[in-house]
Amino acid sequence: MRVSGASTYSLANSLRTTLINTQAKIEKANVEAVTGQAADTAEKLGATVHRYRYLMRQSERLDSISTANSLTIGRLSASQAALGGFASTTQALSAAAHIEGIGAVSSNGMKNYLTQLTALANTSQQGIHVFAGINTDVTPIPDYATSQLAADVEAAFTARFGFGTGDPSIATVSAADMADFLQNDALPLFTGTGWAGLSRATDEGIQSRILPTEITQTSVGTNENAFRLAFAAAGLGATFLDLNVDEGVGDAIRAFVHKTAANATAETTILQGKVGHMQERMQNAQDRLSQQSSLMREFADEMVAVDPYEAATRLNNLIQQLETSYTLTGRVQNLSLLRYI
Amino acid sequence: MSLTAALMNAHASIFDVSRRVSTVASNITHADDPNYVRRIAVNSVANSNNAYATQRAAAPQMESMRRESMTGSSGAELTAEKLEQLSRLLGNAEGTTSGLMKELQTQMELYAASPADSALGDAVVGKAEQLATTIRSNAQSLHGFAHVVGSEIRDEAGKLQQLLTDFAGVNKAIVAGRTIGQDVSDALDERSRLLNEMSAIVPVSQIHRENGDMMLLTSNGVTMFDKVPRDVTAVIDSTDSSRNAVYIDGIAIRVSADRESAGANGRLSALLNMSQQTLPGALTELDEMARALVVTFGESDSSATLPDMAGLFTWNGGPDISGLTSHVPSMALSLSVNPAFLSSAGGSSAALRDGGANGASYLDNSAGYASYSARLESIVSAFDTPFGFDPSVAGGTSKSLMDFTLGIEANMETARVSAADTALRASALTTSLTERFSNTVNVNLDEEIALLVDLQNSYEASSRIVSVVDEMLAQLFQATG
Repeated sequence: MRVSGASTYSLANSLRTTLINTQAKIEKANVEAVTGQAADTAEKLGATVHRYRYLMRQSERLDSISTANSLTIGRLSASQAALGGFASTTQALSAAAHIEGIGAVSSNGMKNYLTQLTALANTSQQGIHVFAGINTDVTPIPDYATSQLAADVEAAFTARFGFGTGDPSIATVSAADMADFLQNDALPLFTGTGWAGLSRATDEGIQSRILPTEITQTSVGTNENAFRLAFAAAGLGATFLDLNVDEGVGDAIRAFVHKTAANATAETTILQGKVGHMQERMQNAQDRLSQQSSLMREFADEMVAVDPYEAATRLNNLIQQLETSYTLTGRVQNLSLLRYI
Repeated sequence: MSLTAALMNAHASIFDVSRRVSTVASNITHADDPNYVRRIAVNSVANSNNAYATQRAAAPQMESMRRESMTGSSGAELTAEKLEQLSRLLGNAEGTTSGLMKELQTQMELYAASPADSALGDAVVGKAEQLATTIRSNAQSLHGFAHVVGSEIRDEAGKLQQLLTDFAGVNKAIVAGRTIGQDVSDALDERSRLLNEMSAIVPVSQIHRENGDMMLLTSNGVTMFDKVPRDVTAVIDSTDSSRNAVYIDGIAIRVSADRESAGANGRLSALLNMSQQTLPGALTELDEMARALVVTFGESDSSATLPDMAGLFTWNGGPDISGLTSHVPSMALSLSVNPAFLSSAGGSSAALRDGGANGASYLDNSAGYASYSARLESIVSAFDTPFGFDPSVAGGTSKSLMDFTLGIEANMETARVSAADTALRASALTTSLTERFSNTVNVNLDEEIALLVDLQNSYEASSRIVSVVDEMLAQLFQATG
């Protein structure tokens, strides 16, 4: 019985095993040298593979919120541009209504302004109406003349004066009465619940998720004061300047339009500020998202990174090892007593 | 001492050398057989009977150490291999399921940002279909895998039975040979080989009896062989793999619930652990994932009188989801997208945004506003809100759906790596013991050849004696005429 020795079988076997093991290691080192990342993530990270997956997933989630946000930013830009146009229109309306005598704005002029304001209020971007609250597939402001609100104004007039606006007795209405009617009977219909007879927007604005844990309102609708006053000025102006009234009453109407349109301009500027604030918030959120996302991605990449130079060196060493074991195998197999007898 | 005596001694020596050369020849023939134990020719000059004996250079203690480590390493290697296959099957390394879940949430988010865009809604439904298909096919793959493991258990049990039968034959030959004093070395080699193969399947303990007889036991003292081989039966349940079991001599093999301990007890134990623990566990996790999806996307009655119903995701037990409070077996196999959302089945994806797929009382967006995002946003948040998973699931009861999905994949990956580690260590031990054993009992060609040269010289010397004595006798005859 041998105490220590070697058998032919184990000698051959150990050389063979070394070859196979080295080749397997070469395969792995090759992948790592080329990609710069661990060949088997779970093997490199162990239990922390959970954290790696979490970081990757968080980073992708932040990217997707960022993408969704860019759509919202587009919509807010369109809203801001429309509000700018709205403000300049109401300003022009107010200025036009201030002119008296020759060059005073006519009913047709009013109707033009009304059309412009309606078009701006119905601005749509990518198929949704930006000022409609969440009722975005419906135009928020339809034609004024045929709307319920116009009918309500007509009913209020009849209730106050006893006859409709088409009646020739309208010539009997004094300027003061007309001014009072416009200010205290007709205007409240626009600023109060009667507005629903024209505007089909919802009070509730579009809610967007700007950060993973933050949902905020990102739209303004036609139920805001700016729109109400602007349409009061243009709508009432268009209706009443069309009537057969004398100049004094016409002047009273125009004064009303001038004042109301000026208020509308001021309100629109406030609204623009509100939208600007939303835009700023969106931009901040975007910056934060991109910062966090790239930070997380960096952490994650660091976790699985392998120094490619180290991997390449390892690969070279293994290849040398393999070549050595090839040579040795050949030489050892040739060692036999038979050659020396 | 006469010349004749010298001649007879020379004859005996020549005969002895011939016998030894045949032993050397036998050794050289089997130089590369790891199961062959080197034969040593015993010096029989003192034995006047001329009976010779050949011994085996056996090392029984080392042999049983090696066998023990072989049980551990073959079990560990099989476990590692199976977990690797399972991981590939489910796509855990690439994070297939969690990736789809992420994409579903992302699509929902995009839809919530632009609820008026029905194309985005359709994209969500498309992603949901992909996810449902993946979960379903994963569940089916697991069932298929369980089938394969079941038939492997049956094969291993059959192999063990065959080995025991062969063992019986060889054992009988050894006992018979020993009783009449024959050389049973070949049979002993064969018996060792059979024991090695058996050790890979189950752990084997031997009890030696007289005349070379052996009794075999497995873990917890169950008899495998005592004069006659015992029955090895595998009972495989094709629907519920946790019921798989193997009975030796009527007693079920006890399988540890811990994967590593089970692997240390041979291949059969490793396969049984996979059938009883790993695969049912994985199926339960998939079922829970399905349940979480169905409940998360479900619709509630606004007046809270009618039961909750299935929304985007449903299964063959739907549409009422109010009973889904704990694990429902095989739910993952029938997870599907509700046809009320599929445009190909006449449905529409708008019900994702508005609710109402189950009727008007389930409508959230009753005024039908196009940019209503509240319902969508609440579902997006729900992916990251803790869900009441079944306590039996390894993911834990207060994980969110997203964390649960990621956790399952991470856990299986960690298990795969740890099993590969264990296998590497166990097989390193086996390799080292095998090498030691081989160096002790196997043949070294150079040693045999050196011996051969020695024998050649002895033979030459002995035949010299014969020719010298022959010459002397011839001289004597010549002298006497």
